[in-house]
Amino acid sequence: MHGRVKERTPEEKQEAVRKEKERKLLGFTTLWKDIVDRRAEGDRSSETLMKTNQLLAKCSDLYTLWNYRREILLADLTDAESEEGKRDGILRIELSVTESCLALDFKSYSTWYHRKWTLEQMQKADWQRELDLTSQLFRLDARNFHCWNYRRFIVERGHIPLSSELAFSTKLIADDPSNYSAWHYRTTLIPLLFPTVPSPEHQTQIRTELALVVTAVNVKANDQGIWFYTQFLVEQIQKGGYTNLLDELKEEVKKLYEEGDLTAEESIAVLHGYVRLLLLDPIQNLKESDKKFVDDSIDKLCSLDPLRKGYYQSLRDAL
Amino acid sequence: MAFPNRDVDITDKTELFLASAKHVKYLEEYGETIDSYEFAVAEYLRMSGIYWTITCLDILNTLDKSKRFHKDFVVDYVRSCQKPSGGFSPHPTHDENLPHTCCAIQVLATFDSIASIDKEACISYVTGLQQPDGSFTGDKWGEVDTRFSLCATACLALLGALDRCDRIKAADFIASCRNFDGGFGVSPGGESHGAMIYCCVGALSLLKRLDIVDADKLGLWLAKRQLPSGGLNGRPEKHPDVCYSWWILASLAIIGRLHWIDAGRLQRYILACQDIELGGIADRPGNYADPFHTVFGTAGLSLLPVGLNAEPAGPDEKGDASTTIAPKKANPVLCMAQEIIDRVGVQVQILPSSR
Repeated sequence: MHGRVKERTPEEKQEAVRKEKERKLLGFTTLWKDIVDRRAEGDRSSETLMKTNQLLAKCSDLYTLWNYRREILLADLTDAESEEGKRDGILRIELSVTESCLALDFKSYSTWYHRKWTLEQMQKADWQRELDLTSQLFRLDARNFHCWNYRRFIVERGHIPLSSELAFSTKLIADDPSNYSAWHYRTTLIPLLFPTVPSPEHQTQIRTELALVVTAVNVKANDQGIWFYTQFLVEQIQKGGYTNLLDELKEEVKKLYEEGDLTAEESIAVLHGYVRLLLLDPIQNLKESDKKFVDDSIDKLCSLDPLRKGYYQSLRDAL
Repeated sequence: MAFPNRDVDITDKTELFLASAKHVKYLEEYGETIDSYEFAVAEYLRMSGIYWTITCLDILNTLDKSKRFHKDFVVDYVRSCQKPSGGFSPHPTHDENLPHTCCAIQVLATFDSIASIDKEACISYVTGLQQPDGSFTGDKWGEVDTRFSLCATACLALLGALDRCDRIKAADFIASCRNFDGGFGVSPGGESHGAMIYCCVGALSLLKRLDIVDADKLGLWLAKRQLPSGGLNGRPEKHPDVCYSWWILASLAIIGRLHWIDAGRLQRYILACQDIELGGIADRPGNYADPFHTVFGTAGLSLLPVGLNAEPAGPDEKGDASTTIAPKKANPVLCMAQEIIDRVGVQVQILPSSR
């Protein structure tokens, strides 16, 4: 029961509310029992299939009903094997049923899974349409991880070019630099798109990523997603041995810390980011002045962000 | 561009005690007091509900005194949910799957009644769901998710049969779900998420394969889940929620980084989510309570190394010692009282603290 604010029903309305609930309860339990009985009797009719729709519209988490649907469908699909197009016709109904269930609740594992299952059964699935559907849902909630998982499935099965997915992620980040899901997506795409490291193509891409990060931290310096992504960027730079890019990144972060017009919260994030970049070098290679800066910064971070004091103190152990 | 505040405010007036007696009453009466329609619809997660409820009562030291959840009644119900496949369903009219099989075994372990079911059939059911890549499907229909890796390994560990699955491949699959930020998602390529991190770290702990985890990297990501209110969220830019007081906190405990967040602030947040009037714990202050958040909030409190204030005795009641003693310590992997885990003999791996 997530996010439901507690409220009281006024006394005069309580009786009406109770009656309404009783009616709903009876409707639900009668239908449920009917479906369970039909299944026990081996009923595989389309009428029963329709009946499950009514309950799934009320609660799409009733996974047993999706299971029952698949049992009925598998029987129908075997019968339809010989006729061209009939199979996909049956399955298209499942796409529309899951679509209306997702419109009511797009966080139900079982609905998403049923849709995946349906597509896998189809002879000619319209992968582009499915991809567009996820793009539409991201307009409502760009972080829905069910939808992201589904999109990964579509991209894989539908052989969607990964380069266009990288462009999709860039667009989402331009809309909102705090879209951690979009940043995460890049970390899975880049190693697949540029498997040879070091290479001029990889280096060019990493330079683009560096620019993206620099722009993003300048828009929203306290967004933790961008700083987590910076870890990925640093790892890619190190893998490729592009030392000039690392120096550039350090310079940009240093400049932002020293010259940026930062709020208290932003300055914690930037300082932490800078300290982590300095700590990438082995301690013995750090200049005395940098060592002192890191040491002082850890004190500062402990007092500015006391929730994570234990973490900052562990950074000092590295010194 | 507007950047909304996703945290909540907690007033200084928040009562800093665990209302154990209220929570016990709330759990004992749940199902009679809540909306009967919602309770009927939620039959599809009844076995989980029983696990949440009896575990919470146990952690609050009152399960042996429970009138409604006495051993024979609960064990009979659980037995009635074992299917010919060996797996368990949440309710006899629903289908079996791994999450409910895991909850059933957890309930039976709590009541020391594992011997009362067909154990061998259950083991075969679970191991039969392991795939060639080491992952587990949730049931015979084929959905793969790292949540099922924890359900399977936890279930097998409690049945003393972890060696019956392919442990190397089980760990390899989890490793394939590890991300750039040290976290884990639902499947390879999935974004790091507090609940799946808990499942992956928990399964790796049971498999004694925490070498797969980059504890410092993951520890930082987990520590960043704490918001100024003290509450934890499950992913960057999300609201705080009491259930993450378990998923995130337990993960930090397993990887030896519990001291990377502020325990006192988290305790205050969880206590602020209590329904002091009717009992139970909600996801956020002022929201409806439910057994799910009640058990994970309570178990979370038991992991925190800060003492809890006893509930002040009301004007009509004398302080009842049984309701004011501290909650039992929960095992961070299995979310059951540690004493049960010791009795069953399950060993989990916990990384040493970094300091």
